[in-house]
Amino acid sequence: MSAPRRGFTLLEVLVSLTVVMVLAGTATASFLQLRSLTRRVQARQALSDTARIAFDRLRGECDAMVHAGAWWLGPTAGGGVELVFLRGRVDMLDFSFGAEVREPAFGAINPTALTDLLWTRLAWDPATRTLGLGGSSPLRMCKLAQPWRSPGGRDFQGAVAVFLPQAVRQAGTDPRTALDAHRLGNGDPGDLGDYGDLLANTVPLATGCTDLAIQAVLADGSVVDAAAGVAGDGLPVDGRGAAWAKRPRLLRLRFTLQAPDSRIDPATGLDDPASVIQQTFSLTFRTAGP
Amino acid sequence: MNHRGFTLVETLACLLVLSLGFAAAIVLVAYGLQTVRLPLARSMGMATAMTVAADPTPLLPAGSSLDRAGAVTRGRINGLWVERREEPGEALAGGLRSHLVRVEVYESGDGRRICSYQERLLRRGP
Repeated sequence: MSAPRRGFTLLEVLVSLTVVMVLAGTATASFLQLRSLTRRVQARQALSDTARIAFDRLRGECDAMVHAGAWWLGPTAGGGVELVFLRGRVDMLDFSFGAEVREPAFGAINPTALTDLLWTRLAWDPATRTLGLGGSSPLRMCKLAQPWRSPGGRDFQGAVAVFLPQAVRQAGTDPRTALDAHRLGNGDPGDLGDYGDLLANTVPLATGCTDLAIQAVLADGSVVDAAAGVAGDGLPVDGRGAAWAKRPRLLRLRFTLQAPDSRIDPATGLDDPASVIQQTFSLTFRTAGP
Repeated sequence: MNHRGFTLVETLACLLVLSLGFAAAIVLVAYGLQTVRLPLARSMGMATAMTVAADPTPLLPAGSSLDRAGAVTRGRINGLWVERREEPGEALAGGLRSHLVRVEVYESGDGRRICSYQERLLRRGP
């Protein structure tokens, strides 16, 4: 014979259920908030990390900016912004061009050390929301477009040459043409060291970049703006003579990074504002000198 | 064999322990998030400090700016709070002046100092 089994009373069950529901509701709300917080913190971490990497990369490039060199700042054809500047030069001492091409006469013509110019390009493409950074190859190579005969009588037209000593390059009105306007090349896609090479070497520095504004403060105190939808001056400067006062002293950047997992609002086809996690970063780079 | 069930007090005590466990887990995760966030804020803080040291008027989003009062500039930038102090310059040869700039960066939330940065700037003029 078993002992009488006494279960919960109705009141006890109801009280227990109420407490359980209150606790479950509180815990669920807390976990949802925590999950949202975690997602936001992770997204902001990623955005800050990207911005820090961009800062480090650009700081290195700006530290190497050659004041006597050329730079351009202006809008791109796709509605973006582009900054191109000379970041350094490579002196290839004891380089014998003649020995390289096995042409004895060449050594007599060009026996000197070569100087090559290195360019940096920072560009924002609004279509892909990509902030790109690239540098030209530290080697200038081009296919000779014009007939060019060495004293030995050989015609080098169509041959690939790896040289071009240009200690000072005259900046034109546009990097697309100025970087290509070397003495012998013709902008062939295989050329190295020209604007096409700079474009090819531009790789994403940050994705999800929804906006970029660049402002340059020049040595004479004047300010040049270039932002999305705003036509910049596209000021070409080669740093010589009076243009020395137009060298950039400060480069101010403002860009907005957006986390990649925002939802698309089906009604508008745009990012749902409630799901967007983004942050605007303001960074300034100072070039050397007073 | 005793088949007597739990009493209400026992049940409530059990739920209390359970809820304390939940709360502890949530607090622990939140603390972990805060711990992870600090080193990253510190690295971004240094980039921010170098920016403000070089430029007291950086390119901020529309509608926001750093407040400048004399030699002190302070405000919010890159999600952080900065305070910049520039000492009067020392005259150098060639019309240059040397200015010592100190920047302190604080976390916006709890005001904890993240990093400090100091740099000497050369300026032309008096």
